[in-house]
This record gives sequence, C-alpha cells and structure tokens, in this order.
Amino acid sequence: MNDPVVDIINFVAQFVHGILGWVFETFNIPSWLYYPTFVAVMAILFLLAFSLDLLFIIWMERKLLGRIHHRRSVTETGPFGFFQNIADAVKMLIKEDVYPAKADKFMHNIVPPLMAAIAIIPIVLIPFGPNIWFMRMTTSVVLFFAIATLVPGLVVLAGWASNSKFPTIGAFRAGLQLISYEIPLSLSLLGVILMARSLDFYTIIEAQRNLWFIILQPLGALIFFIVTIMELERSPFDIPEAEGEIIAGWRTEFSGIKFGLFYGTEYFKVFVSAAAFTALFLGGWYGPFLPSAIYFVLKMHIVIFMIIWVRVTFFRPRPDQLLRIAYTKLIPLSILNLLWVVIITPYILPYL
Amino acid sequence: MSKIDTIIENTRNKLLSNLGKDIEKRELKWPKYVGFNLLNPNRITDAVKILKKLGYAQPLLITGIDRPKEGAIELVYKFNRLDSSVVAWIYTQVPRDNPKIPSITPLWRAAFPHELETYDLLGVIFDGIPDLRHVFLPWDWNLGFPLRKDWDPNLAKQYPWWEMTREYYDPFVIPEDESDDIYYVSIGPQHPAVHGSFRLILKLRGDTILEAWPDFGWVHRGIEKLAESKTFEQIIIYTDRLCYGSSITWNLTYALAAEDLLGIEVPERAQWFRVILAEMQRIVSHLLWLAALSGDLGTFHSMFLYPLREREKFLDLFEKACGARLTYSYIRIGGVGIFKHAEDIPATWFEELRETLKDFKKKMEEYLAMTEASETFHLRTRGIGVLKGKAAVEAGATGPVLRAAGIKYDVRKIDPYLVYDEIDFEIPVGKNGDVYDRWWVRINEMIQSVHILEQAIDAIPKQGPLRVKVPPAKLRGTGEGFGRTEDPRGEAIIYLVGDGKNTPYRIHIRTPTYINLSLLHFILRKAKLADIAAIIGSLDPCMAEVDR
Amino acid sequence: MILTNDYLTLGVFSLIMIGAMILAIILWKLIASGGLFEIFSKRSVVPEPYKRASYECGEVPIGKTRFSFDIEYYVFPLIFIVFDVFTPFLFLWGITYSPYDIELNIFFMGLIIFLAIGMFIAILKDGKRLVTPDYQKPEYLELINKAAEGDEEALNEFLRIEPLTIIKKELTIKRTSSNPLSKYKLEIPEKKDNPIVALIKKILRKLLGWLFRWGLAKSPWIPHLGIKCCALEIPMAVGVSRFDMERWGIIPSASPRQADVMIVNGPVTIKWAPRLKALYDQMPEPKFVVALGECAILGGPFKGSYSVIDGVNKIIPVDFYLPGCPPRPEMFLELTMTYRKKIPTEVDERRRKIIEARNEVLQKLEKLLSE
Repeated sequence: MNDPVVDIINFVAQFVHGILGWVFETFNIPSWLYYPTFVAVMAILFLLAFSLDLLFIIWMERKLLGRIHHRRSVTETGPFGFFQNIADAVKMLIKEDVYPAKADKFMHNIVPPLMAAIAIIPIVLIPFGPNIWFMRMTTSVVLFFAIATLVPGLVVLAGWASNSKFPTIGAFRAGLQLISYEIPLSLSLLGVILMARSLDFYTIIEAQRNLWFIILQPLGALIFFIVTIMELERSPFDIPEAEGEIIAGWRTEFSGIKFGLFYGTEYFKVFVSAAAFTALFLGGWYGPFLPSAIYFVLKMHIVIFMIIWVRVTFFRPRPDQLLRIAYTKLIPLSILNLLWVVIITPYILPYL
Repeated sequence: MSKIDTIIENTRNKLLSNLGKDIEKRELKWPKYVGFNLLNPNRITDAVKILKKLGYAQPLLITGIDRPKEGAIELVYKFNRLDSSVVAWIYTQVPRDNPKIPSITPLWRAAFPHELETYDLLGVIFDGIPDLRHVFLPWDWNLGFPLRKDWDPNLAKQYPWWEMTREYYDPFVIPEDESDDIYYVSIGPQHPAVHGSFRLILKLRGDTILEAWPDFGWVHRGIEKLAESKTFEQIIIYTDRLCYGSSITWNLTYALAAEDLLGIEVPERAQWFRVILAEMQRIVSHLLWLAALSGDLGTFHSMFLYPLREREKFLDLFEKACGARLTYSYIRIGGVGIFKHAEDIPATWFEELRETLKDFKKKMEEYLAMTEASETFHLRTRGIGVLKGKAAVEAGATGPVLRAAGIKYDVRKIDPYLVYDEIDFEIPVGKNGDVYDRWWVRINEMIQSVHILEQAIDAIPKQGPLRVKVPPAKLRGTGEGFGRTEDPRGEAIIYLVGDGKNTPYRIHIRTPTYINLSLLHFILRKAKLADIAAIIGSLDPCMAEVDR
Repeated sequence: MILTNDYLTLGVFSLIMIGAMILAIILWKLIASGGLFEIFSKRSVVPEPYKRASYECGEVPIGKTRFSFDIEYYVFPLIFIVFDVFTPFLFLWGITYSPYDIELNIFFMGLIIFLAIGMFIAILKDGKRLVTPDYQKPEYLELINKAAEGDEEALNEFLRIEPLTIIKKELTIKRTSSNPLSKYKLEIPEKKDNPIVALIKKILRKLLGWLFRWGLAKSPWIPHLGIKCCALEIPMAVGVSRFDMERWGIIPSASPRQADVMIVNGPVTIKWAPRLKALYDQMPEPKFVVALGECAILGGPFKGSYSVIDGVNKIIPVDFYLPGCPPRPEMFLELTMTYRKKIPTEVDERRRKIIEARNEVLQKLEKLLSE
C-alpha cells in the first residue's frame, strides 16, 4: 500500500541527501561528519514542523476554553486569533531579564532551555508510522520514561535557584507531585508491556493491529491518562503553579523568554505524552481509511482535546490529598489492572 | 413586646443592684433597647461579666467619640442578644489626657477588633489587651490620632511614604532562636487569593500554619473623618464605596440611621421597593462570592464565569432602574431615587425581574448539581476551617458564618426593619461550621431571597411616592441615629451622632467583614497552606468594607 | 527515513534541541530591554530599588528563604524509593513474560502485592500519625467540639491571640530637601553607545521594530492587582463571557515578573504606596501603567483624606487615564483598542514627553505647597 506520507518524507530525505552530498564534496569535509549532519538537518526540519503544530495546539486550547465558557476567546490577532501565540512569543523576546539579586545566576539561565530541550527529546523514540521514525531500539519505552523523569529534578532546581519563598514552596510541591506519579505509571505501563511482550514502541503498536489496548485494558488506560495529567502539571493537578495560593509557584521569578520556554515546555510535554498514550493504548497508526501517519496525528489531537476538557471541569485537590489519591487509590487500581492482564492474556494471545 | 420588657427589667435590676452607685439608668429614645451610664470606667469588666451571665451574646460595637468640650472621650459599648432585639448600651467617659480603661478582650474575644480600632484612631489605651498596635494606620505611625477633633490634618503630610526603605514600613521582629523548619510568609496585598488588598502574615512549618496574623489598613480612606465635614446628603456616596459588592445595603443602613436621627418617615411604596433592591443586592453579592470561591478552589475557568454571567443579568436590571452597575447611590434619605426620576419605575421592570428570577432558579439548580457531584469539592470543603457553636458567638462572627456554625441569628427576623415582618421566609442554618456549611448556607440564602422577591413584587403598592421631599432645614439633627441591617456578609450597623449642625458629629460604621476576618487568628491555626484560599473565600471578604 | 538505531541519533538530536533553546535565550538577551542591542529601549531612570528583590507580593521578604521542610513531606518519597528500586526488575519480567509460565507470574504478582500491602501498613498504621493533617487529628476535633459547647478552658485555648512583636521605633521625620516630592523627579539618562553598537541598534530597529511593536501591542498581560471597587469591574467583569477581554489577548498573570500593563484600580493609601512602587519595580521593561477610575487619577471622592495619596502619578509614571467611578467595561475595551494603536514607534520620545509633563506638574505642586 502506497503511503503518501512515507513518500513525502522519503522525498525530503533524498533532497537533503542530495544537498549534503554536494556540500560535502565541494568543501572536502571529512565523511564521518556526514551522518551527524544529516541527523541535525532532519532534526531542525522536524522542529519547524513541530512548532507549527504546537502553535495550533495552544490556539486550540484557548479557543476551546473560551467556547466552554460560552465566549469566544482570542479573535483579534490574525484570522480567528491564530497569531496570538506568535505575538506572545515575540513580546517575550523584548522583555527585560529581571530576577532576584540573590538568585543563583547560572542555574537561573541554564535551567529553562535545558528543561525545554529535555521535554522534547523523548519524541525521537516514538514511531509515527510504519517507516517513519528517528530511532528504534529494543528498549525504547524505558529510555522514554527515563528521559521524562529528568524533568522533576530540573523543576526543583528552578525553584530552589530563585532564592525566594514562593518558588521554594512551589518547587517542593512540584517535586512531590512529579515523583509520586511514577509508581502508578510504571505499574500501568507494565500491563501494556506484559500484553505486548516487548519494550519497544514499534512492537507494541504492531501488537495492536487487530485490537487496541484501550479496549483490552480500559482500567490501565484510565490510570495512565490520569497519571499523564499529573505529570504535565495541568489542572486539576496544577498545585505547583496554582494561582490562588502560591502565585506562579516555581515559575515566579522568571521573565521574558525564560518564562516563554517554561510555557512552551508545558505544551511540549503535552505533545509528547499524547504521542506516548496514542502509541501505547490507541493503536498508533492503525486505522481504516487514512494514511498511517495522519491517523497517528489525529489520534494524538483527540487525546490533547481530552486533556484540555479535563482541565476545565474539575476542582483542584490539595497536595496531600493528591498524594493520597496517588498512593492509596491509583496503586491498588493498577495492581488490579495487572491481575486482570495476567488473567486474560493467555486467552488473548492467539488473537494479537 | 412583653419579652423585651422582661429582659430589659431583668438587666436593669441586675446591673443596678450589683454595681451600686457606679452605674445609673439612661433613657434611650428607642423603647426596645436599654441604656446605662457607667460613672466609673474601671468597673467595665464587672458590668460585662454580669451581662454575659444574663445571656448577652456579642459586643456589637465599641464607639469612641471625642468630646473636647467636656475634656473626655466618650465610649459607647453595645451588646446584642441572640434571642431578641434588645441591645444593651453602656456609656462611659475617660479623661482625654489619660485615656485608659480595662480591656474586655480577656472576657470576650469579639471585642478585640473594636478595641484595636479605637486605640488606632482615637488613642484610648486598653489595659490587658493581648496586642496593642495600629491596625488601619501604618505600624510606625506616631503623628497623632486622626479622629480627635483637634488633630491637625497637615501632620499627615509628614508621613514619609516616599521613603522606600525597610525600617520605615515593616518593623517586624522574628525571634532568633526558632527551629530551622519554621518560616514566615506574607501572603501580601497583591495576591490572587485575597480578594482585594489585605495581608496575612503566616508562620508555617512545612505545609501547616502555626499562627496567622491578618493585617488591614491597605484601603483605609478615613471615611469616618471625611464624613464629619460633609452634609448628610453627601455622605451617601461614601457609603456606596464601603462595600462595593453590596452597595445598596450600606446605602440602606445609612438611610435608616439618618432617618432615625432626623426623624423622617418613609412612604410604604418606598419601603417595599427598598426590600426588593436589598434582596436583589443579596443575590448579586452571593453570586460574586460563589465565583470567587470557585475560582479559589481550582475551577478558575468554569465555575468562576458562570455565576458572573448570572450576575450580569441582575446588574442589567439595576442599570435600568438607576443607571449604575456597581456603586448605585440609589437609596437616599427619605426614600428611593433621585427626584426627577423617582416616579419612573415602570411596571415592565417588575415583569422583567420576575422573568429573570425564573431563569435564575433553573440555572442555580444546575450549578448546585454540578458542584455537589464533584468529590474533590467535598474533599476541599468538608472539615476545613471549622468554627462551631458557641465558639463562633464568642469570637464575634455574624451573618452566614454564624448561621453555618449552628446559631439561628438573622437581623431580619430578630430586629425587623423596613417591612420584613410582613414577609414569610426561612433562615438556613448549618451544622458543622466548616467551609461546606458556609457554602450551603449562602446558596440557600439566595433561594430564600428569590422567595422574598416574589412576595415583594406581588405586594408592592402600585401607586405612591417613592421619596418624600425633606426640606434643608430639617436636615439638621441632634441626638443619635442607629441603623441596623443584615448585610450579605453579616450585621451592618451605622451609628450617627449629631449636634445640631448639618454635618454629623461622629459616624461610626460597624462592618461585618472586619470582625469576620479577625476570626482568621483562630481558624487558620492548624490549616494547611493550600486551604487559605478556600477559608478566606468562605468568609466572603470585601476589603473596602474592612478598612473604611 | 531511517536511521540506524544508534545512540548517535539521540545524541545529535539532543544537542540540536539544547542548542536551539540556548540560542533562543542568547538572542533574547541580546535584543531585550537592557541587552546589548535593545530594540525597545529602557525606560528613563526611575529609581527602582526593588527591581532585584525577590518577590513576596510586594513586601520585603520576611525571614529566610532557605528553610528546611517538615517530615510530612518526606514520608511519601521514602515509600517511593522502595518502589523505584524495584521497578527495573518489573520491566525485565515484562519482556520475558510468558502467559503460560504460571509459577513465574505468581512469583512476580505476589511480590508486587506484598510490597503494596507493606506500603499500606506503613501509611495507614504507623505513618498515619505523620500523614493526617493537623486539623483532622483527634485532639483538635475534641477541642473544637468542646469549644462549641461552651467549655471555658477549650474556648480560651481555641480563641487565643498571639501578639505580633513589632519594633516600636521612633519615626524621625527627615525633610532632607525643601519638599519630599522632589525626590521623585524623573530624569532621562544621557547614555552614549559605542558607534558600532549604535549602528546595529539602528538597523535592527528599522528592520524589526514593526514586529516587536506588533507583539507588544497584541498581547498585554496584566498582573493580578485588585485594590478597590474598580477591580470588580476591571479586570474581573471584563473577563466575563459577556465582555471577554481575552479576545484582545489580555490575560491576568499571577506574577508581576511576566506582566506588561499594570492597572491601578483604586486609591493608593500611604500604606499601599511603597508596595505598589515595589511591584512596579519588579515588572520587567517595557511596561505601561493605566490609572483606572477617579481614585487613581486624582484621589476621587476621597481627595483630602489623611490617608489617601491624590493620584497614582505621584508614585509611578502613568501612561493612560480612564475616568469613571467605576468606568464601564466597554470603556476599558476601548482603552485596549487605543493601547494597540498608541504603542509608540519611538519609546524614548513618548517617555520624554510624559516625563516632562510630570516634572511640570511636580514643580507647580512644589510651589503651591511652599506657599
């Protein structure tokens, strides 16, 4: 079956190969640099494409929130307010760099870009289509969540570096919340791994070619979804940045593009987590009519829509109530889910 | 009637017999209140002990009036009861150059905010008070006491507010030898959780609050002093800006007090219309409260905006009647409205009000169901910020806070004003005194207001003047005026003292929020930092009212 | 598009991403206000002593900022560590899982359940004391119930007031100059740049000035500041679905470090004034101020009171005035549209005009006061 998206990407790859080959010949650059340069060019192209989608996601969130509140949100900047986020980013570029005099200057400057980069790097492990991926490893799931786990440490560092009270309180709460999610995450992830018997995203998606895992393990999918929202620090679990209590939490003392990078990090994480959810539970690129990669992106956007919907609906629990939910309710449920998986897998296995 | 008489007889007998020649009877112009002159100010604690045993519930108000001609500062103490409308008044005088009097705070904690205020603005020193400091004026103020009659206003210009250095504006000492995990935070004047500008200084360990000190005075505009140089008619616009969430109620309280002082009768149609406006204002104010509380609890988006949408419909009605959305100045001395437009309320306005009420009832049921179904809401509000039973009475709470604590006390039933004794309504009372109960009480009050409004729209006379013309010669008064109403936040009182001129000699405003927010000393003690927003939201603060 | 499954791909990708973000930061530091090639230049030299103070709602921070946290925060992470060490082994089980190998499965499931039960015992039995919040502990509940019934001791314990230890300092009234207001005279700095830097600045301004002016005009963020009545109208009632200020991109931002337009909606009293100035200082350039309502413009109905400062432009330089008591939300929307048009081409020029006008007003006031 001729997949148009794969064709396009192959065409682009050929094009880049052509140009790079010419450049390397004329300037006599050593050939061991060819492969890294190729990867670098493809990464930059991916970053550009990804930024467009990011713009769309942020715009969609603001419009959706507006419609649920019975109003129209951004309408004045560009058609249907589409350029509002570009205006926000541009404005942040000219804001002055203000931070407390006693703050740790090096940390203050290095943490935002590092966090933004680490939030986006895991996307390299997820395959978007049967032949569309950056890298494929036999243990990509573990590496994915290992990289994603670096973020809580940076959050606490950001809060601590500001040397001011509200960020410190926010950083402690964020740290607590972000490490608490990891146990239910691992346990519900384990359900998927047991059923697919592999730690590779590619194999997990291929194991769902007949039946998606969300139908086989609904409880696991629900737990993973809740845990994803906890990880993203979005409402209803946005205690570290709850406006009502500790102002902007650990982000208080950052201005200009540093804040812009934090703002962007949240949406990078949304993107990456939605991609992970789609790959693990929603069957990746399998679907009836459309070409595979488009199907993947469509499912991802449906997951993002659900995340935004949950944001507007629920009240916010307190930090210790949140931890109680994570430890006393989510962990038993995920163990139940594991039991369920262990019981039904022998019967399902022939059909996978 | 006879119940009031027996209580008054009882009080007189007990006090006169126990204090002998230090106290004497004083004739008040209101037959339902009882008054005394205390000749020896040092016996105030004994008098208060007897009153407490007799069943008086709270010190409502402690007013200080500066009388330079007699060389004394007059202090008026008022105490109320929970079961009838009797208010006991005790008048004492302290010498002006040495104004000391024993404090009644160790006996009755609710007197603490009143005594602080009297020290702050008039300079009376109370012996035995736990903490004597300035409340509304800056902490390091030493330029005199503004409410004294011989205070030079030019002194205020010398306060160096332009000096932006620490010693001048925050002289607060932290003990040196505390353990390392205790820290102090100032939830300061600019914060999304405090509605308006007020500061909480918190002493925390981890996530639990050990002590809390509320700090007021950020929007102190000196209304009581400004009002002493304005005529009775001109003060109405100041009462608007006392509490911007419920301005009609303050207009009403002031109008009642001024009519009491000047001896003016209001026509019946105006009284019914005043009831309609007051109940509409109650609904509007509670909708604002609901929005603020929901915003604090986390649904900053949905439950914050839906009640405000309903509020807009009522604000439209107000605008059709008087032209303003927030600060109406609509209830005037002698009735409702400005003269040229006083006859202009058409019948269609009442029909529109009926329609709006029907829509409102349906929407309220929807919002209630949405909130009750959410388990996180119950997690956040049950058992938090508890103030129950007699503790609430001792601490001085009034209004929905007191009703949520289980005490049935509403000025509209106990001491009816306007035509409330002809309307049939109930008072919702809670059980546990936590945030959930306060929410529940206010929601039910809104529903009761809808009932009152429906009855009032049917009963208002179709013809009749909305305001009586008061000739300027009559706008001078001697004596006292006392206006007491049920604000959406509690019991609102304005006490006017006149001396024959066309400006009042002293105006004292008892704002319910000032006392309710002083409860934060007690309620926040074992709460978590994340609960502050919910607790403050449930007390429904309106900061302009606190600071006057 | 495919690449060998090499860690090289991951490494290069990470380097590109980190490089891109760091590039963004470097670019920002160059062209922001205060940077080397500032496109929107700094505002005039208003003395801003609180710019680099750490934020505590406008106050000077009380006490220390590096404090240690209570044990209640560490109970859950301690449990987490046990599971964390155990998790990699679970993944190994995942790969070698065979649904027909019943003994292995029972072993692992049993291990997980054993750990979970242990965790429950830790939390619910011994850790309960640490994990219940203080207000749910039985002693406190008993205290409340006894106070509700009117028990004297319980009431005294519940209704205890702690004194606040304040230094009673003698306020020395120092009038250093003839009039205190002259301390606030604003000045425009005369700063000379390196000619190359000045040339690059000029080129950048011509090429990119329109872009940044567009960005600044289309997304004004306001800090959460609610002083008095006008705060109920603006920004609260303007954000309601009926008027909806988000259409123009106005979002309330909680921290002043990320805000542009400060809306002063109420009278400034002598207690608020220093904190308002501190909050204004803590906002990054370029920033604008809107004086909303009569109280902020000239003191409003409270002019002449001992505690109200007549107008906020004695404290901070104001760009827009909006009269009304309170102004209607539609007036504020018109102000937004005016703001979008009036963001100046030359920020310096407009500042210069405002500062000159303000200095004139101050001079006249000085004359009046000294007479």
